[in-house]
Parts: sequence; C-alpha cells; structure tokens
Amino acid sequence: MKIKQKQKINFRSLIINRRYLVISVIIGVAGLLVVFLGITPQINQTLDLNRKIKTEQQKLELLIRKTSDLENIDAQEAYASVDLVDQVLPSKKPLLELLAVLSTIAGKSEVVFTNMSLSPGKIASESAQFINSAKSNTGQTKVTPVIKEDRGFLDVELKVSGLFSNVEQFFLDVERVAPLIIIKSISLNIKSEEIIMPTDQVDAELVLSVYYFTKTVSASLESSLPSIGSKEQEIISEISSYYYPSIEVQQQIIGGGLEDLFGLNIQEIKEAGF
Amino acid sequence: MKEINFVRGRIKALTKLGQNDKKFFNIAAITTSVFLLILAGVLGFKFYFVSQLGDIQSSRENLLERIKSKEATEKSFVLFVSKLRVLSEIFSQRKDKQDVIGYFSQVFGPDVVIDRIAYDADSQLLAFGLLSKDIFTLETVFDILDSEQSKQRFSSLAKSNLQRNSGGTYRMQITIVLGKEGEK
Repeated sequence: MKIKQKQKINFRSLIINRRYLVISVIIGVAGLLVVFLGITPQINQTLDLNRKIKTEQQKLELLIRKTSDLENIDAQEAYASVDLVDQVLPSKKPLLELLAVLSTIAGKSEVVFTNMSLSPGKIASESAQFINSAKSNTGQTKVTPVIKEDRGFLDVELKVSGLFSNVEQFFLDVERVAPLIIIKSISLNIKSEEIIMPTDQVDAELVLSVYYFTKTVSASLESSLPSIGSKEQEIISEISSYYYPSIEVQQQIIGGGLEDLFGLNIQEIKEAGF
Repeated sequence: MKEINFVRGRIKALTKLGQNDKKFFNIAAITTSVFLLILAGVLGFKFYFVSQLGDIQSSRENLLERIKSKEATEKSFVLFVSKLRVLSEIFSQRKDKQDVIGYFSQVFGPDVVIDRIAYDADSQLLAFGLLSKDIFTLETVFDILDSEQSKQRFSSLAKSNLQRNSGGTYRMQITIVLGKEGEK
C-alpha cells in the first residue's frame, strides 16, 4: 500500500517537476510519427507521381506529334501518291484492271493476244517442270514455300504473238504497269531452229502473277504514325512512271419509263376515265 | 529569525534538470517543426504534381478526341505505308531478277537468244533457256559463264541440258539462285 502510494507520488512529481521532458518525449514521438507515417509515404507517393508524370508527358508529346502529323498529312509530298499506290497494289483482286492494262500495252507494243486464262494448268505445269529441273540442277529439290500474309497473287496464263522486237517490248512494259505484275515464266515458241531476228514473227507463252494487298492493318489511338523512309520514297518515284489503266464505269441509267415512247398523253387518258 | 532551507540542494538539482529538459524540449520542438515543414513541402509538391497530372490527362483526352476525329485519315495513311512496305519487298526481289535478265540479254551478243525464262519467287530461282547460233557462239557463252565477272556476280550458277538441234544450233539451260551469299 505504501509502495503504491509512493509510486503515485513519484509519477505526479515527474509531471510537475519534469513537464518539459514529458512534453519533449511526446513531441519527439509525434515527430517520429510525422516522419514514418507522413513524410516517408508522401515522398514515395510524390516520386511515383513524378515518374507517372514523366511517362504521361512522353505519351502526350507522342500524341501532340501524331495530332500535328495527322492534321498536316495532306501536306506530305509522299501521301499525294496514295491513289497511285492503291492502283499498283489494290486491296482486291484486280481482274478488270489487269484486262484493261494488258489490252492497252498489247496495243501499244503491237502484239496480239491469242489466248488468256486464269489459274493456268498446262503452261503452269510446263513452267513448273522447267523450274523443277532448275531446282534439281542447283540441288534444291524441295523448297518450302514462303507464305506471305500481307499479299495475294493471281496467276494468269497469256499467249501473245507479234514481231520479236515488239514481244520483247511487251515483256518490258508488262512489269511497269498498275496493278503490279511479275513475269513468272516466259517461253518463246521458235518454229525454225535458226536464231531469231527482231523482225521475225514469234509466239510467246507467259505466266504472270498479279499482286494485291491482303494484310489486315491495325493501329491504336496512342501509337505513332508509321514513317516513310527512303526505300518507300524510291518506290513512289518508280511507280509514278507506271502506266495506269482507266476503266470506264457506267454512271447513270438512261430510260426507265421517263419517256413516253408511244406519244400518249397520260393526263388526257386519265381525265377520260380509262 | 533566520530561515533554514533544508531542500536547497534538491531545488538546485531540479532547476538544473529543468534547464536540461527545456533544452530537450526546444530541440524536440524545433526538430518536429522542421519535420512538419518538410511534410507540408512534400504535400505541396504532391498537390502540384496531382494538378500537373490532371492537366496532362485532360490534354491527353483532348488530343485523343482530335485523333479520333481524324480516324479515316489515319487508317488511309497506315494502309498506304503498309502497301509501300510490301511493294518495297516485292520490288527488291523483282529488281534482282530484272538485273540478271538485263545482264544476260546483253552479255552474249546477238547470236544468242534467251528463249525461255522461269522465275520462282519462293526459292528465288531464275532459269534461262539459251539458244546459241553455232558451236563457236556456245564456246563464247561458256567463257562468259565461267568468267571471274560471272562468278563474282552470282553465288550459284549451274549449266545443264545441253542439246544440239538438227539445224546446228545449241540449246542449254542456266540456273541462278538470286540474292547475295550472306542472305541465304
């Protein structure tokens, strides 16, 4: 009982006599709480925010650049060739365009079509035999075909005849047109066993591949616009000299009951009660 | 009457302790005030950053809206560049083929005719059928094919299927693998 009373007196005495020490301890504890529960987590959060701002700032700069690029895209010289590129590599099988362009360049080179078919059988197999024999000569007996998902092609078999010099010109012209054509095989039918002169009449069998674009293009809002490099610039300058076919499209239907072919006055007939 | 102070020593000790305690109090108060100031500063920075982030995000939303409004233009441009890249690849393969055909159509002279050409894009093989006027022209053809210039130009060049026709002309096949050695 005495001991307890003594302790109580000492505690009270401590508060009375050493109140500054007690308050100092309380303030010190509060200071430590400020450090550990306030300053440290707040600094961490602020640093995180700063990092986030830097990342967001970079994204923002990219978006500003993209917006500016998009708004000034028409001023880009290369983009003016978008229609040419679409014609050279269309997004659909360019059958009509192919027929139109072949007919035009055949006329220009003064050669005549004697046959033309899609998905060739006979000529393709002859060409395949020739290339297979070539493969066996180089030791490439089996080649795994490389499937490109960004393009498709249509094989066309063609037989042309004309003067040798004109047929040669046709071979040169056929790879400089829209849509993009690549000669897969050429075979000259030489009747005599003499060397051909430019003025000789020759028949030629060709297999052509006509290319079109099949890739699914995707872009996200926050991704930057793709750039046009020097290779692409070269392509643009090369295709600008290509021949582009013009296909006439019927724009309107004439007739359709608008004209009174029999010269009847419909109003009078109605009034007469027929 | 004289007063006798029996707790003088104790008061003196307590006064000394009180002075020390005050020192501790001052140090603790100053330190905690500094901590509080630092906390206020950090909070100030945090609020500044939060408002900056808000500004950035609102600018971002604004820019995204502008980009969305140009969606058709973007689509057209991305498609345009993708097509150019595909064309670039096809053209580089085709250029190799055209260069080889151009080389062989000039190098042999007028007495040799290329009567057949086959091209396989997958394996990058190019095969020619050559028709030579006579045995002397054929010898020239062999010399040209075996020359250092031809060896340097083509990493793989094979001759095959040599035939003599009744008219005295010679037919043979040349097979070339396109592309540079390092690319294979």
